[in-house]
Amino acid sequence: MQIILIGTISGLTLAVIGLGFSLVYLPTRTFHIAMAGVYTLVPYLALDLVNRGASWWIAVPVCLLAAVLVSVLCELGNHRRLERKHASPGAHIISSLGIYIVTVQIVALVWGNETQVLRTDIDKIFHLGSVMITRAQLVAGVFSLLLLITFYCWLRFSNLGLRFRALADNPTEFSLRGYNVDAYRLLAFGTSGFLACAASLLIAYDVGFDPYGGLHIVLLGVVAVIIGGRLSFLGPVLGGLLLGILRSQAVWYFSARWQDVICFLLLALFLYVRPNGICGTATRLEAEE
Amino acid sequence: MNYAFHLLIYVSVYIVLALSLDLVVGYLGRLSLAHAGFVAIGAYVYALATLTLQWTFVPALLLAVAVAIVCSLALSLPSWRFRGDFFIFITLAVGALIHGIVQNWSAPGYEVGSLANLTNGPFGIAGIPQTDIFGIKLDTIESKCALSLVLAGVCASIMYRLTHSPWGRLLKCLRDDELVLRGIGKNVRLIKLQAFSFSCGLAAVGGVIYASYVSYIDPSAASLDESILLLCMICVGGSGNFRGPMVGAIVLVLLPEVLRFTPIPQSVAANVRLLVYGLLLLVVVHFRPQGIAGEYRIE
Amino acid sequence: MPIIETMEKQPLHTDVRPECRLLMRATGIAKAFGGQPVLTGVDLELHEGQVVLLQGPNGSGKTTLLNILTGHLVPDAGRIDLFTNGCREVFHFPRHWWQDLNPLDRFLPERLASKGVGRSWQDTRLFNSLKLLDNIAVAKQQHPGEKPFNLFFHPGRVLAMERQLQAVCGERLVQLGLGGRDSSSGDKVSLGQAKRVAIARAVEAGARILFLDEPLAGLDAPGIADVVALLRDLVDQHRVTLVIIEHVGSIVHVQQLADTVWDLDGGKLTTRPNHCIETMTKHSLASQWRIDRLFHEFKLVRSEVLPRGARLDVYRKNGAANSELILEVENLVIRRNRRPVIGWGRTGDGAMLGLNLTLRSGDLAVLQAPNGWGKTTLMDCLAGLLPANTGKIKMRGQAVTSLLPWERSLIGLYYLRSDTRGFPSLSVRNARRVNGRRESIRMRCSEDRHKYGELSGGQKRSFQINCLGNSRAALYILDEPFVGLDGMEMSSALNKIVKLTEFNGQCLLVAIPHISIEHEPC
Repeated sequence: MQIILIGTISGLTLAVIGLGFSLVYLPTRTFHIAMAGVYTLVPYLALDLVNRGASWWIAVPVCLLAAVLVSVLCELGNHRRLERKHASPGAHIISSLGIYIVTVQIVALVWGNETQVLRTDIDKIFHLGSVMITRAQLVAGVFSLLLLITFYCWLRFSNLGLRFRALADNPTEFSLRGYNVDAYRLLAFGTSGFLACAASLLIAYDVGFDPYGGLHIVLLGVVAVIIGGRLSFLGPVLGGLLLGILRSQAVWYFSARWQDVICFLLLALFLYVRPNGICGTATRLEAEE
Repeated sequence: MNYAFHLLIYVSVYIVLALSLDLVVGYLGRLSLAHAGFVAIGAYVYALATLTLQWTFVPALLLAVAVAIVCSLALSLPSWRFRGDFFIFITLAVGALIHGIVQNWSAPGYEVGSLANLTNGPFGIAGIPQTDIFGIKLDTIESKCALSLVLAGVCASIMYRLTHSPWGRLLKCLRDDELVLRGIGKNVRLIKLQAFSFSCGLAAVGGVIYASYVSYIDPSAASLDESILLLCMICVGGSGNFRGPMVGAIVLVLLPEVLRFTPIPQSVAANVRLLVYGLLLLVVVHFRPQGIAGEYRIE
Repeated sequence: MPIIETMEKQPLHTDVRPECRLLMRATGIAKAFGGQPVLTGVDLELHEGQVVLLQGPNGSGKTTLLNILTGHLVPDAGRIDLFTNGCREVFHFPRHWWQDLNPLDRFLPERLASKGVGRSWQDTRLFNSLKLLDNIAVAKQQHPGEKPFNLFFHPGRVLAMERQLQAVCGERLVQLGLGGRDSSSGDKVSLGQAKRVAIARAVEAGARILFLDEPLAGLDAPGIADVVALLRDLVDQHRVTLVIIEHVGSIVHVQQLADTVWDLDGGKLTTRPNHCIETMTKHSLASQWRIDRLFHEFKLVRSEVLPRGARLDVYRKNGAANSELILEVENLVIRRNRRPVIGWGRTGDGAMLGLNLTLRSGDLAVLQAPNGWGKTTLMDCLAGLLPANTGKIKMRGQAVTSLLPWERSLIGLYYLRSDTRGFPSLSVRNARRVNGRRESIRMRCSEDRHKYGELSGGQKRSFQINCLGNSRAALYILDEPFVGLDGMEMSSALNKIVKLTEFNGQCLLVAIPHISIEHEPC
């Protein structure tokens, strides 16, 4: 039971990251690898602000703002330019990789290469029945859940959310109906940055952070998206939960080092049997039009 | 003078790696971020073969290439079904998987090379024996340089033969329009299998040269940073022809040497180097998709 | 009431082709897409040397059948027997799951191609990184140079074969009239020449049965003549079996060749020898008739014949007054892959002649052109989805060439595309909200909660026309709006479209497929 709860919590944070990725992938079909750069930047910024004496109530919004800004800049400066030139997906992904590298190296140059922690005290432990859970994990679980619920309510019930879903379905048709596609793309990137920042702070608060963990976590988030169904907004949640629970089981039965291998094996299985994920139809993705 | 030989060895290693990656990126038209993983596979297999099995250079080299070719199935099988950015993501995952395996297949207390501790984890495998070719031990840097140049020359000529041949013509057609190629009866799956096999096999040769020169291999050789460096060479130098990857390899190997003469402290040199790679990628994609000397535009 | 005109006349061929070897037989082929059946039990036979014309109304499944018979699509049921290589190969459908596990026994295009079933594509699709010569050379089967083992261990064999191949392919190009152009790449020759190279490529790959998907699409008169001559040569000299799908407007050019006609309608195929000419299928006649009937309210103001078989008719409603200039197109040239789709010929100084078009409010312009002419390309460009190479587009005096599609939509352009994909994951009600303005319009209350993607093609089209009817724009561009609608739906759609001209300040540009009647002389 303990393992399942821990797995669910880590799954929820993975779902948030996966959702951030999906938010950009579905409307624009861009692999936003640079989101890992945002993920890396945020905890360092937060630590810097806190060390300079700012309280958490200031540091967190500033970080959120910075994350949104950086993500929006990715779109404005990079992807929009390539989009105007009708660039191939390869160009988008290489440029996104370039932005990721530049961001991570700037972080390392400014703040150093070592692992850091956001909290220095011993964590409080709560007992829920027979289960033990640390405060950091509880915070992570609760906030992730809140974020996900808020997002899905917005998507389902608001006007803006409806238009966002329409954009994800058919961007060409959407633009022909008079909607400013550029503005909605900025919204997608900005919200993705917001989610990446939230997940990053939650995980950094729990286990610490270093400049090189970002890509790894985003990779897991994308695996969650693919397993859950990359063509649906609900995919990241299903995939994230499944992945989180499986990883914690792997840690229990094997050892922490093999959880990634198991992750990728699961991905391989899904790609072979059900490439469109849990949410998708059971068609096979043939490498042809 | 020794330093010049050292650079020459590095340049020849990276020429082999860049050419082999270009087979997949420039000719087949698929971006791969897992290439460094296969370099590492080659290096690790060579290290284990010479260290634990006490094999000489040539059999160990052949074993390394064979293992890399078998592992290339992890890329060629997905390439049957997926294309474009989805495939790139899969190569990312395969690269991370290989990195994870070499990083974690270790157990303290066990001998290096045994089944429990195959790769010695983050400590890597040190003390790879001197290169032993048919009884001749190569212990001077000049001889090692000569060996690496010879091997690089062999690999380059293999690549040349492959790409300037009817088989290479098939690859270009595959890149242009896979469906039409299938419609004229060509076995596209076999072609992809062959392309990835050659690419990963040659990458393993590069890894072997590196391991035999440095006598030490660790998991960082399989990291994503290395794959990105290789991709950078292709993007900056150009892809789809013979000159491009070579130009890219030379430029990007000599770049850190240029950085030595700038007043950048050694502790941050690695970061600055990677930063420059990232910027180069951005510049190339936006302003010169065909690289310095390439033919195929990644755009 | 639908009319079928048939004109009995002498058989087209005095020598009836003798019953030759059976090459392919298909029985009971069925295929459905998303619940909508397209083919419901198709039976056919192909004999050596036969030339078959496959015709049917738009959406009847011709391309689906073509894809199935060439291995690009797996049918839901049926059986295909192939006798091309002397021995018999049978494919049963649906395939069992264990059959798909066997890597050597898959129903794939390359498997059928190696057995002599080849095809050409509607949009040519040459390999653009290769020279023309190489395009044909690459089709050679069993080339030793295509096995890496031979490259290193038997280089002599490879070189010998390559030399021979270059000579043979060079000759082929000369036969096609492209001698001396063997180093050009595919995008530097004219469309007709490219199509001929593509057909030669398929033949070089050893095709005994060649399926041709609209081989005349997009060609001008000399191009059509060249392709037809090549096909005739294939039939007479090389005894290749041809199956030609051609759109009803261009059928006339290939009718002389064919000895059999396959009519595909309602999911079923009927075979008949090509003795009498059926000039139009029931369906297209019906649409022609309905369009004509409604236009009696309108007066034809001008009619312009455009190159490559298209026609632009501009109508105005009787008594319409206001004539504000809404759309001005000046010298528009649009290229795709360096080949001009809109844009013809060359003037003396080498510049390309572009399309010129002016529309005033109250105009109803109908553009009729055959498949492949470029109607959709033109409309996509007007809407901003494609860039124009040269030329100016102005809406209400404002230059729009630099505006994005949504910006053009905001200044009064409404573009109805021919594909009905819409927003599949939204419910119908939400799709209406996204599409338009007022929620009080109810199409069919019961369907509001269904997902848009679950509607049938005809329902989606009706939905789109409904949204169209409730919008207020200045320029309406409609790309083949009647495809997929049955009789009643079509009248209602037509009524709505015509109603759009009742408000002042609108003009319409409608593209319809080529439906003019061509009569063969008796």
